[in-house]
Amino acid sequence: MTESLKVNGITKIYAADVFKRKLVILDDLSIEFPLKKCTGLFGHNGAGKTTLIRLIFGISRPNRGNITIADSDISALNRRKIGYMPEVDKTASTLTPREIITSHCMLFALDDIENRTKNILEKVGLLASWNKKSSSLSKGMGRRLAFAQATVHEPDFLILDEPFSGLDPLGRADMHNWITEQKAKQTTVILCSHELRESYSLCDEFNILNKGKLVYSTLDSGKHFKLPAPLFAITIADVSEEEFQNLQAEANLPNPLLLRHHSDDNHLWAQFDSYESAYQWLRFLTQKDLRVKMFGDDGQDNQQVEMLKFFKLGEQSA
Amino acid sequence: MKQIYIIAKETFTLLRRDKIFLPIIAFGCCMMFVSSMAQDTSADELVKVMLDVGVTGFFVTGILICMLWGIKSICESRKDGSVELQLVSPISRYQWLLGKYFGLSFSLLVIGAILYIAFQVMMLLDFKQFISFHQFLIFAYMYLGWLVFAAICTFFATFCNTPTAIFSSFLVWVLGMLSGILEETLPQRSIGTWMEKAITSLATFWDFQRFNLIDYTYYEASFPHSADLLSFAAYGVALITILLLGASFIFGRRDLV
Repeated sequence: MTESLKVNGITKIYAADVFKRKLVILDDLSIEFPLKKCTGLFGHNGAGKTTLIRLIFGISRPNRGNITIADSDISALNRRKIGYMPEVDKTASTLTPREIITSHCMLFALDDIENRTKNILEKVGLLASWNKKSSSLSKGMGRRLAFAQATVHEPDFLILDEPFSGLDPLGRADMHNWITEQKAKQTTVILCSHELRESYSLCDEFNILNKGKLVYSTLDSGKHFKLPAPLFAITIADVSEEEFQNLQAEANLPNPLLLRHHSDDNHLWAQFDSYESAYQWLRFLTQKDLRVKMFGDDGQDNQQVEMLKFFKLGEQSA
Repeated sequence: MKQIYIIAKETFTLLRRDKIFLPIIAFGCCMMFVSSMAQDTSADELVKVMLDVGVTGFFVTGILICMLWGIKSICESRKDGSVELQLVSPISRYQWLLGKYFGLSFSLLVIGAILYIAFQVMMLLDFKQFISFHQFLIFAYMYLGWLVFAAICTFFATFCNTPTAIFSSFLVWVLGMLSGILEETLPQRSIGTWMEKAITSLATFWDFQRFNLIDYTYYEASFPHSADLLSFAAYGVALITILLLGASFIFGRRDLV
């Protein structure tokens, strides 16, 4: 039997104040996250994803139910093992990335802090800004800093809350790669998102929440839901088909599945069958200083439609 | 212990970079300067006027900064969620809270030291004299009063939002400042009403005039004995301990978001 992090019959009720009605955020929720795998936790805004994450690492306490890991209580889990990237930037605005990461390393009693800090900030592309106040960083840089903070201590569990939000195409591609690296290290990743398009290709398993209830899980053999294989596309500004082919020959880049030139605003749209192929192109184009208007998965509208079906299902059963 | 130190150091850095750090030092130094001006224009004994105004300025500056920083450092961490990130690391909630309190205490010590030096400079310029040991003790007890008020602010900041915490802390502080004075207004022959008992109890357990030795600034002869001073210090430390224990108890048992 595969070991996993199990959420058993959790109920979480919030009361904003004594005069307001109590709000059931999670309702008798049971859910499973297999260890050493990447499991997606999807759902609309307000589905209860962030609340569930907070319950897992103990910031909030459940009204009912418990959370176990490999059949022992989560409270016994050493917090040195968890890495958490929150949904929005939650670092102190007057501290610099260097101070934030150094302080984090000290809390985890890590060795060689100076080098670790440099390495992780270099990896996420923030070395040049390491002495700037975090309030002066852009939203995308803030997300990179949050990822650096979540992974600098090499956690066994990585909880990522909306990791792609606020990132530009290159940032999204980098984030995709960093998460893939974590998977290769056999880190247990919980990827929480409302964007199925971006996260689907990363997840080994996934769960869909709606209004505090689990409405779909790939671990539940009773339900079948298979998304079509994702396709990836790049839109490049001011490039003709001929120039595209010259670039391909120059760097020996993979062939696109489809190539379309839009003459009205002079941009080229190329579709690829794998993320890796599209990413190779993206890297090359940015090195050449060509303007990439869009990078991401493509042709996934049917995925969203399928996902909506499950949300509807959940709404009916709620 | 190391975890507390890390949080305290970070809190000190945050407060040192806070927008009100320099204005509050400027305000405090202005109060010291005003004390020097006041003695120039007053008909009263010159040194006394300067001491009274200067020490009062020191006290007010400290109380203001305690209220602003004590509540801000905790309420803002809860509001912006930075507490979440720190509590995912191997640190307990009470360690985090103590770290915040010690960071604030150290920031207050820095402010107190700057104001003390500013006042000493004024005394040297105007009267060519140093602050005496008993006057130094007055400043030290005021600093202890700041620490008690900082603990009150920390206590309320663990479970209230910013406006409620400011209001409650200030109310509780005013109560502490008035309880001793109220007790003195009671008739000498007690008639034992519940109100009298309430005021007497309040003055016994919640009297912050013990940290306010401004009245003795100039009259050294009537300065409290060392046994009284020790009991005042013990009272302050006990209050801080109880308030922080209460704050840790509440903070450890509630949802932080």
